[in-house]
Amino acid sequence: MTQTRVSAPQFFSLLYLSVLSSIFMYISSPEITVSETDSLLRPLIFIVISIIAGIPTFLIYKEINKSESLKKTLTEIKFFKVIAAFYGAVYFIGIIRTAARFDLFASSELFPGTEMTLFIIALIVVCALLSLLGLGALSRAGVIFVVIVVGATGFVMLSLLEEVDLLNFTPLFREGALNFIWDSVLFAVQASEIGAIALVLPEIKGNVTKNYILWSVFSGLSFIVVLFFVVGTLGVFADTQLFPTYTAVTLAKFGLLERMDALETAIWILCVVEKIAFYFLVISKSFKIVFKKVSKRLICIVSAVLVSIVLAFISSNLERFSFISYTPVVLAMYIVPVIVLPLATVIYLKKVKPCEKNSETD
Amino acid sequence: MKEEKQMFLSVDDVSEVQFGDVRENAVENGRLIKEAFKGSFDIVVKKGYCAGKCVVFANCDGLCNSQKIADNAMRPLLSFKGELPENDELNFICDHLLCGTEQKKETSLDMAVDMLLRGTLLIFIEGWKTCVIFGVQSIPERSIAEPDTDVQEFGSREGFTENIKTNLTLVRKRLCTANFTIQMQEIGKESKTRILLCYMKGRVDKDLLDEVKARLQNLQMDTVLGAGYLRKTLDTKRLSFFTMVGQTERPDTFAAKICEGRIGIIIDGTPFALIVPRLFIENFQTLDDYINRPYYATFMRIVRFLAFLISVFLPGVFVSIGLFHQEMLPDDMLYNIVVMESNTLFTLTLEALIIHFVYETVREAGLRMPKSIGHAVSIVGALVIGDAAVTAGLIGAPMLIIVALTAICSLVSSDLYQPIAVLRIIFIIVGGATGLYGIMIGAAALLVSLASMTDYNIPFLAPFSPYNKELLRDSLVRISMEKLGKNIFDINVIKLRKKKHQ
Repeated sequence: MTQTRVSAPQFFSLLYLSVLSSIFMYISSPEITVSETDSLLRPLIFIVISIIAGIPTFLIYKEINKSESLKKTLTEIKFFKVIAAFYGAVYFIGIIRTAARFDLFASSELFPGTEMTLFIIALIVVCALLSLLGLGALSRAGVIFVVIVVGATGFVMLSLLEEVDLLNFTPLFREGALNFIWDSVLFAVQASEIGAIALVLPEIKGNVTKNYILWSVFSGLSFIVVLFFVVGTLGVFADTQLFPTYTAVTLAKFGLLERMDALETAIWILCVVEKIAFYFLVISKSFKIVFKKVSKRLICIVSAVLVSIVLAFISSNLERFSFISYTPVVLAMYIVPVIVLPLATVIYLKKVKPCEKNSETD
Repeated sequence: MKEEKQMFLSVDDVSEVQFGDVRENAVENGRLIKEAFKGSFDIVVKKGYCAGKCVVFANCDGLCNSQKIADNAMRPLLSFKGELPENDELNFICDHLLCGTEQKKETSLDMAVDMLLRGTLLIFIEGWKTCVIFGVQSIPERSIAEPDTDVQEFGSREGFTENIKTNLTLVRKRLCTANFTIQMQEIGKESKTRILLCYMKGRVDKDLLDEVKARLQNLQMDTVLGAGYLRKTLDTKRLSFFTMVGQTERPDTFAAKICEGRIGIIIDGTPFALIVPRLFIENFQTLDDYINRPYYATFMRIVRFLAFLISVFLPGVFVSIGLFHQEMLPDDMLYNIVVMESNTLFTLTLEALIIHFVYETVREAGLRMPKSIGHAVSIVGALVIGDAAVTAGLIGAPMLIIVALTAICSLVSSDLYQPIAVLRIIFIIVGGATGLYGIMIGAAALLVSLASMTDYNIPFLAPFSPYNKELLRDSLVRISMEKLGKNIFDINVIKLRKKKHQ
């Protein structure tokens, strides 16, 4: 059987869109203030954390590539099935979090007071179907989406330039350095998609490490640009807004176009679609390792149904939504797939597997 | 012997053995042919004598040139007064009596009958288990004319006809190289349609050639009467609005594509030739682009692309802005639209759907009806869709302008008309139900589905994604021919590499 591989820049375009969706639908909370100038420096910490956090994932493949036989029998080993199940579960919750956040965004900002559950379920169905088209299709489309999203966002941001007030930029580290670091960590853990690289790495060709670092840097710089306009245009007002990035965009106007928020939001949806479709793809890949005989199509359908049921339960209920946005949950969603699972795999490959081999030969 | 039989079958692998070999008795062969066609009046079997030897002629009237039969075959044979060399009559007749270059000896009666239906003359000679197939074809055909569909401003005025040989000649005269390779195949159990697989040796990718051949080999059809019959087999296996099979009526376009490493398929009986694979960007390119100055060619390609976007998305976007995002419009414009739309009966979505339905109906009627009354439909269509509908309050003037603009834009890239017509209806419904956000989800789905089309290992969205700098020089932009000529566009550059995995 042959499989088409995706080039590293294409794949990281997909990942870039995925991580951009977090900043576009960034929710301000009492724990992290957006209005302070510190928030412009948080993406720098994001870059550092992302680069370090990616190491365990890349180590897995370094270990696997040492043994040809291991590559072939990898999916047969129980340990990896358990790890795959964990990955699947984490990204299942990831879809729920992303979709629920979009649901909240749509029902509170786009069409206030409107029940958006059906719309979100339609979005879930479309994304599940798109995931069946494969990583190649999502990544290739991702490159075009990046051009559209970056172009449109750049245009909107430029039209916001005259709204920027330098007085909104406060002195740095007013809350103390420790607080800044903690806020930065909470900001960085939004990018839980890093863990998913472990499942799709064999399908990527080219210099993955270099592209990963470039992705981290570009994502960080993009965050800085977006946050610059959010802080510069809204100032302290940003902390009172549920979705400060959206509020900033509503101020943009250019010529005949009085309000560009609808257009910009429509373009942001591309990021959400790519992110959810990618997560569905990861779920289907991981559960395919667990249930070998079940088709990816069935896994996607079942996942989409389950996600829709959960979303119907969460939709329009802030209490239920706040549970999945609870800080420990957010931290766990990052630490488990990005650090715990890859490290466990690396340790297993380094320690346990050689022992098993030795005992077999004895 | 067994091998020979197999070889014979491979020559005509579609037909079944019905008559077996040519009989020694010439009259028996003539009788078998008559019986096979149940006495059909256009099958002519005539007996004569050449130097005392019985000779039987068989041909299909209407497909042959009677004058040629009389002058080049019958008269020389029947009026021959000399003696035929013993045991070598057949070669003597072929070499000394028959006047024509197109001659072939055939031992299979099935093959001979097949050739009879292609307009040749069959000559059976008493005592010989071989017949002579003599080329006297005169199949009625249209003269070479300017293509109707693939119109160019400055290009050649020649277009393909329904005759496979004429079409091949039109291509051959443009590609005077031994590398231009043609392979003939017969497809269709009943129609036995001849197709020509054309490619440029050294430029075509072997995998691509094998894939196309395999797909054609697997074609199970009784009749193949046009290019469309093969399209499904050659096209993407995914459910898609778009196609990876190109179609052209122009031999110059066909030749250009072959030079780029693609495979062309000329089908007997249709003026449309197929080209595989086709990229999305090719829908916005024409041969005129290579004649026009680069800046103008680039400008026109961008215009065509924008026209495509307008024709697919504009009605849906207008409906969604009108229903969900009124704040996007300036107050004055919004006021004007509201005033005009407030007098109409239907919602914007319904209005858009109705008017598109009417437009498509009028267009279809204009296409199918006799040309003499076509003008009447145009007038009625213009009046009904135009003035009367607005005056009667059925539709608003803004919607009319949108539909008119959409209709014109959709005709810019004629190859894309079919997907455009369906997609814009879908986007009207989606836009009317969910606003711009729904349209964007639909657009994302459309783009991902386009990106998933990688048949023949060629990504449909190349050279944009995957990005290829070399090929980008002749995509939406076109650089000068001087620079372009150094490296001819090669479709294989964008081929996706595959890796083996367990």
